[in-house]
Amino acid sequence: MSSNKRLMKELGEITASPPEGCTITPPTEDMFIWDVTMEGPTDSVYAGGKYHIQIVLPKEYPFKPPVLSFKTKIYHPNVSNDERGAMCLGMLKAEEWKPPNKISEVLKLVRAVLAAPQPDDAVETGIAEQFKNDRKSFDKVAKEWVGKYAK
Amino acid sequence: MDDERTEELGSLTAIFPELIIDPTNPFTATLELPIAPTTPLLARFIPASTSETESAHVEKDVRLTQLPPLTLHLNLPESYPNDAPPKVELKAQYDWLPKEKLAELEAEVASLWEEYGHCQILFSYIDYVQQAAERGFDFHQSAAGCLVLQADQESKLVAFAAQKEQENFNKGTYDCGICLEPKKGSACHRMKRCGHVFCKSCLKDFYNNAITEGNVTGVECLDPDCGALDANGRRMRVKKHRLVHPRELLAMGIEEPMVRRYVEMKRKKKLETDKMTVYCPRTWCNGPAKSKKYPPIPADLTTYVDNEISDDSDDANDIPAAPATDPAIMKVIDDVDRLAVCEKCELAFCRVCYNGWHGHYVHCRPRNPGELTAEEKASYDYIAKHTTPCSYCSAPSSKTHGCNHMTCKRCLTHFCYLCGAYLDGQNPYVHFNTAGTTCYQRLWDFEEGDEGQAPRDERGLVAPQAPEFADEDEDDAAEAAAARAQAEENNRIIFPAAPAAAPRNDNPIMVAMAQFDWLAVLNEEEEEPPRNARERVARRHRDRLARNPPGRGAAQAVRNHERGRGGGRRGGQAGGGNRQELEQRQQAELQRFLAMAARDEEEGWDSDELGNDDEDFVIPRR
Repeated sequence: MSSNKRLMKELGEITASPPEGCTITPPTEDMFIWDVTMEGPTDSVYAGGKYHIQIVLPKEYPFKPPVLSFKTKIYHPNVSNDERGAMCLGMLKAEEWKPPNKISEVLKLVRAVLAAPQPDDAVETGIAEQFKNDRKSFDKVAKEWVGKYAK
Repeated sequence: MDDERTEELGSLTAIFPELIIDPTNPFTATLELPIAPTTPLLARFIPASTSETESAHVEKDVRLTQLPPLTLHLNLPESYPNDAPPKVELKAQYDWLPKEKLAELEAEVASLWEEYGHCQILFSYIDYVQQAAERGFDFHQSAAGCLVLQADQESKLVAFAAQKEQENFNKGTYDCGICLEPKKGSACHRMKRCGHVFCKSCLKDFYNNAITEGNVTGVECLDPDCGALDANGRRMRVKKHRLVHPRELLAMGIEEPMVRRYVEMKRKKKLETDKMTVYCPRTWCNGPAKSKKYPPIPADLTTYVDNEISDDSDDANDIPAAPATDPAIMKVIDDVDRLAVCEKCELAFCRVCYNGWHGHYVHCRPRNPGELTAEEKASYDYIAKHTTPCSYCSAPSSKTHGCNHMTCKRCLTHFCYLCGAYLDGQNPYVHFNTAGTTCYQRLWDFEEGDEGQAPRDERGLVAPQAPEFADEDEDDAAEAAAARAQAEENNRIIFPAAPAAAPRNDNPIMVAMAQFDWLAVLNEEEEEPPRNARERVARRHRDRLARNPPGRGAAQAVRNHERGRGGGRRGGQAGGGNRQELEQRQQAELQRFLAMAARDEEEGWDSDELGNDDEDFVIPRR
């Protein structure tokens, strides 16, 4: 199947009605790299933050899952604390990805995970431990990072 | 003036354009009524009760959403509607509707006509039949609770329903969740198990891709929630993988070689995860052994039986099989069928000891002692230390009391409990009456069984109380007396001292725990008949003779020996004089030869040597 056609369709749909708190910058040169700006969910520690998320779509898309990376640093158990800012969650795992999943659904999931981190599925185990055992300190650092990186 | 009947048929044609009015008789018409019950009609197919098929008497329940149409013939008599009801005749395609039901429906027209006060009732009647059809003709309220039909009608009705459903499906339009485009039903495929619809082109692309990459578990329904939700609609932690049947892949237009690759990979994967699978011991082959559980892939993939797919509770397949060291499984292996045949190179081998197939009579133990549990190992060691194996079938035996002339309970071979030597059933006592041999005059050693007695020789034979695998021989006085008489005779014959038999303790071998059911073996067709087994014994002895020429008269002894095994054990004790003496001497010679031959085998035996025809006839000793 032609992934281009589907991408165009998805892009049309997502720009027409973007998921809550998301702004999609239409890709210019490479159809397979999408840039998204996501606002931190209002009732979370990330409120007020603006996150640049890059979505890289594999050539086999939608047969293979998109790869998400946070270009803005975020203190979160499910986002790797490095320059990749990788996020690997649920439907984004290769073996769980199903072609009917769409990018808008992926973004909705990301936002849900920002609102409610999933420490049991963490990439950053240290942050996950802190999130579980010392929620106060976690909230403090996370908020600091919003101010430092996500304004 | 217009005939009322023409008028009624005219308005009926407006409602049912498919109504056909007979060109020769304007008052006769035919209408085909499609049957699609709102709740699928439960149909039970009962095999014809001929005596031959009695054994395969399986009822089959099928739910049908579409049934072959009813044809309604209308004939309006001249006096209709005022003085006579219309004449109706109903007929079901394939005669699937019972005659009584049709008669019941036909009779209704008169009562309707009566009820409506002798007026035009054709539409009301058709509506009545249609409603009855939607209710499934109320078969669920009948005595059987369903529509009961002959089994031979099943294929027709099922095919009809499938075709109708497909036609209806093809007429629809569906949004493919993958390419996100609306597609005509004819370009789509509805997943058989779950009913999710995708366009064929996307499915083909995805499955071809998955199969090419070897991602077998990806060949499942592509709906994100399919198999991921439990009965209550909650997302399960571990998702069920329900793989698509090859038949379905072919139906959506995937090429046969690709589907075959899928089936092969799936089968291989299952074979490899099954702990019960044994592999060919030939290092260059390593193919899996043939197994009933995973039948070979048929030439026609649509007939492939996939237990995983036909079985809805397929998570059972994900549970790893218990390891082969499970005592229960080991026992099954021992008892049932140790014969394994390699799928690739057709080598027949033993699934326990991994040697070339040695026949059902030979006891063997697992090649890799690490596969044994501590308990099993202790059992094997105990058996090795405290029992004497039968010289033919190596069934371990222990003596509780009596003389040292043993008869194997399993194969009726006679042997010496002390040294394990093969004894001539016709004249077993010569072994104990031959001066200079290790067992000379030791027929009654450990007469009370060896329980509690200190070992008397270097072999340290201490017989256990259990297990009792072999009967100790009859210890009746007559036999003993005969033995003593022979001993006197034999004493006159001087033989050079024979070398002692190899100590058994050092050879904890050729023993197995499970006792083989000899009779069961005999009754099995594919098994070697016992006569054959005896011939093999004989041949084995001849082989030994050829390699290691024995003393004078040994060949004769072998012949006697064979005769003895064929006839009664005691027969040979009759007669006497010089001839008997000669025979005894010959047999004594043979015994000595056999003892030596046995030692030779022990040295020459190589457990890794497989498929050697000659070795096949040797009791493996490792």
